[in-house]
Parts: sequence; structure tokens; C-alpha cells
Amino acid sequence: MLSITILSVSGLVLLFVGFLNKISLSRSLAVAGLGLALVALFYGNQNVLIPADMDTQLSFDGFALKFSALILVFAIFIVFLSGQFLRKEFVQSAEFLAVTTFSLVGALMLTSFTHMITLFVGLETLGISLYILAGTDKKSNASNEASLKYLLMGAFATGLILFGMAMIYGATGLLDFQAIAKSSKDSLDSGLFQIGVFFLLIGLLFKVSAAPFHFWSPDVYEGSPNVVMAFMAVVVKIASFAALFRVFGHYFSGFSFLWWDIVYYACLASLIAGNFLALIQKTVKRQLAFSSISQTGYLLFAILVMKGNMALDGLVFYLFVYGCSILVAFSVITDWFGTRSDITLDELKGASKKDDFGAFALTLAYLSMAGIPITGGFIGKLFLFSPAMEAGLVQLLIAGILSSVVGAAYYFRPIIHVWFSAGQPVIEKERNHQWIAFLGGAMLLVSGLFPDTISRLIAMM
Amino acid sequence: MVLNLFYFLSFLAILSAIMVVVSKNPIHSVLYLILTFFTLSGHYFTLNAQFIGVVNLIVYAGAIMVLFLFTIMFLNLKDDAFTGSRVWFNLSAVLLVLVFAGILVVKIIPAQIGVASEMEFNSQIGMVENLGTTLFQHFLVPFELVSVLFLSAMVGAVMLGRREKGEKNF
Repeated sequence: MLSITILSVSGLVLLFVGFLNKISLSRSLAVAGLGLALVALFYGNQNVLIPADMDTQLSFDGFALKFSALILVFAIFIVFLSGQFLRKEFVQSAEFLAVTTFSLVGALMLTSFTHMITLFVGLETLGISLYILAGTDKKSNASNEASLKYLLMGAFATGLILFGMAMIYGATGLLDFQAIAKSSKDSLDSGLFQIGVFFLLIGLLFKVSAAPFHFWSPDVYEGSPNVVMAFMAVVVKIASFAALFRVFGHYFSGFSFLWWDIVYYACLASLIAGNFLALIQKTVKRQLAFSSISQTGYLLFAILVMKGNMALDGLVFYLFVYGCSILVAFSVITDWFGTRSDITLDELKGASKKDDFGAFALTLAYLSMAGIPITGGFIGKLFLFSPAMEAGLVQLLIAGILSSVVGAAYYFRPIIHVWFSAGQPVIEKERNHQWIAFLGGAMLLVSGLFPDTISRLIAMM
Repeated sequence: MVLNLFYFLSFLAILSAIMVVVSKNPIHSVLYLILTFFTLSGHYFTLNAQFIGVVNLIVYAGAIMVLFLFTIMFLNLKDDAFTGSRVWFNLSAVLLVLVFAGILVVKIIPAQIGVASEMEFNSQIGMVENLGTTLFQHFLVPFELVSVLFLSAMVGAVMLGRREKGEKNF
């Protein structure tokens, strides 16, 4: 709760600091606010400003801490990545940073809700901030389109979620998740409750962009500015998965007969749709968008297994590794192409001749997303697959492994372009974000070679 | 008496909601939407939630719908705005609605819907005092956090709608 307060206040402060028109000052303040919130997550008494006996409808338990820490760490790096974009003409830097900070309030609520109202307010705070962020490149038609599309699709999904909540309330008369999980058998058997769970699940699958509810994500990812896409692929994915896992992996795990099949087929569909459609994409961002759909498929394994802590730690580990790969990929892309958002795969041809460090980092990121050994992606997939193996989901595992093979085919295309294709790429000389690529790449190698260090850190939280 | 009123309001609500979608003229759509909000407010009144009913009228039927009407007149939509074949669009929409309605009908009609006991029911539950107590005591934290949501939306609206250097005033 303290972190949420800090984030809200720092967002307000950022709005006022915007009057000074100093982008670097605003950015440092944003990073300071996020860092303070991160520290407060662990060292602050969470209810410092709130009477002890008050129910905040939020609970910063171990689960929430893991996901919130992940969200804040990645958000800090994304603010570091945003420098070039903020200096672009017609981009309002103070508002961008403030809205980003406000969106994190929603993200933190999504990791820690115990009540439907906090789940809904969290979803909306994150969602509405994202519709705005997607449109921050005001002069770009693609960005405007992405913003509007995301607004319409997101509002529809929110409507489904709200409808589901209303039905669950109608069946049980309760809004608190813990109480719903314990409520009497009669109300759970009623058709109202089943419909409620169904629509709540569909809405949340929409938000994590699982197939067949993925249609919005490639367009939105492609149109929005690079920084915002990195933010959506990393921070928003972590927050929505936290919400999905908290509702279905935790509170509703008792009545898995209502939702398990739907998640199973959504997982299968995401693996197939994501990996196969990524094969035919021509731009870097669209390919990453479809890759993110396929990653959603792998991440859904953790919810299907329903084995408490092991699956949870696997999920957090995988999200960490995936976040690092996206961060590395975008820091290299930002260095090479600036704020351009329509980079085709062909433009990567021969890039290693101009910048071999960047090419190496990009290769590492793509290898990790493909799940090749010695990178973190391999261990992450192992952590997700092995509980599924124990739970006996053999068909799903086979689908997962086969689709990773297909995935390798398109992840290797940019790598081959960068190293082995002849070409004279138009690459800028800026190397501002090399340190992020270095740090992220190092984390990918550490999590691949010494996974114990990371997984122990996750288990400790 | 109340039951008859319920059926009448529900019939009107569904009819006007369908008319919102079916109307060709966007202005008619908006007017039907206002009618829908009025019938929903009627439902709130019969449920003894006068405050919500009045707020619904003021905010939705009043403010938001006026904005809608204003925007539609401002945009000056022409009939030829929608061109091309809409057969597949209509077909898939009808199919989707049928599936949706089918699921709801199959599941909800046999469902046991709980009924509030007349002895325990607090008739003052929807009054401003009780609503305020709930909102500012039990749900204070979410209530305050909603303000972050609105602030974010406001900042975004100003940022996206602001006129930049070199742009014309419409």
C-alpha cells in the first residue's frame, strides 16, 4: 500500500515538474519515485498511512511482492529507455512519465487485490493509462490507430469482466475473493456463477492477449511507440498474469472444473497461433507481438498445473527472463533505429558490421526467447514444463515443444539477417542504451548458466 | 404492481437498447440510449436506490449523452460513411449475439437466484447516508485510488487533445 501511495504522489509531482520543461530532471524524478516504491515494497510497513484495523482490499503477501518487484524493476529500465522518445517533437514528456507512473499504481493493484473492486479499479487504471500511452506519438497515424483500437478492444474486455463479476455477485452475494472461494456449494453450482467465472476468465485472457482473443495485440504493439510496446510486452504482461494467476491459480483453484478446459484450449491456441503467424511477419515489432502471444501460451502452463509454489516460481522466473530479453532487444533497436516504429526485418541485414556488441546482445535476446540452452529462456521453459510433466499434461507438453521448434525458425531469421546477410543497414551511431543491453544480456546468461541464484532470489521474496 | 412495473421497464429497456443498435441515424441511436438510461434509473428507483438512480440520470442521461449528441452533430456523419459489403459483418454479429444469448438463456433460466429475506432487508440500504458510510469506511482505499484513475484519464485527454504549434483550430 505504501508503494502505491508513493507512486501516486510521484506521478502528481512529475506533472508539476513538467512545468520546468527539463526532460532529464523529470526522468530522474520518475526513476527516483519508482526506486522508492521498490524499496518501500520490502522495507516499508505497508499500512503506514492507514489504520491497522481497516480493510484495504489489498494484500501485499509474498505473491504480490514477487510480481510487484518484477514490475517496478522493469518499469525503471523502461523509463531509462524512454529518453530518445521523450525528446521527439510533439511528445509531452512530463505527461508521459506521469501516466506511466499512474499505470503502475494499477499494475500493483493487480498483483495484490483481494476483492473484486480492487481488481476492477486496478485493471482500469492500468488499461486507461495504456490507451493513452499507446497514442503518445501524436503525429503518427499508426500510434493514433493503436490507441483507438486498444481503447475499443480493451473497453469491450473490461465490459466482459464486469459482466462476469456481476454474475458472480448475483450468485453468491459476495465480492471478496476469499469469501467467494469459501461460499456454499449451492451458489457455486448455479448457472449464474458458471457464467460469471466464464466471462471473468474470457476478459482476463483478452487482457493477457491469449489466442483466440489476441487480435488486438499485433496492431496495438506495432502502432504504439517502441518504448510503450516494451512497456506493454513486459510490465503489462506481468501485471495481467499476476491478476490471472491470483484469481484462477489461487482463489478459484477449488473449482477448476469450471475454467480448466477453457484455459487449456486457450493455451494450445496461443502456442499454435503465436508461433505460426509469427513466421510470416515482415516487421520486427509485429514479429515480437506474435512471439509475445506464443509466450502467453507457455505462461498459461503455470496456471494449468495448479501446483502452488513451484508453478508460481516458474512463472515469475519465466516472466523475468522474458522481460530481460524484450528489454535487451528494445535497447538495441532503440540504439540502432531511434524512435522509428516501422522497422522491417530486412533492415537488420548486415547490422553486425556496424555494431557487433549490439548484434551480440540482440542475438542473445532472440536465443533466449527461442529457448536455446545456456540462455535463461531455456531454463525458464524447463521450469514451466517440468511441473506440467508431473501433472501429466503430456499432449500439451508435446504441443509446447513442437511449437518452440517452429518458434526457433522465426527467432533465427533476425539473427541470420544480423550476422550473415550482406547489406548496408542504415544504423545510427548512438550507443546510449548499451548498458541496459549489457545488463539484460548478463542477466540472461546468469539465469541460463546459474539458474539457482535467480530462483533462490525469487523463492526468498 | 412493482412486478408489473419491473416487466414494463425491462421491456422498454431491452427494446430501446435494440433500437440503439438498429437505428440507421446516429442521433436516433443516442436518443434511444437516453431512453435506456431512463428505464435503468427506473429500475434503480424500484430497488430503493434513489441516489444511484438520480446520479445515473444526471451523469449518463444528462451530461454524457449531451456530449454524445454534441459530438455526433459536430462530426456531421453522412449516410455514405459506411460503404462496402456489410453482409459478413452483419452475419457474424448476429451469430455472435445468438451464441451469447444462447449461453445466457441456457444457464440463467434454470439458475436458483437468491431472494433477499423480507425480514432482514434494510430498506435504507440505498440511501445517501448508507452509501457514504460504505464508500468512505469500508471501501475508502479503492475509492481514493479511483481518483488516480480519473487523474490519469484527465491528463491523457488534455495531452492527446491539446493543440500543438502549427495546428489549426479545426
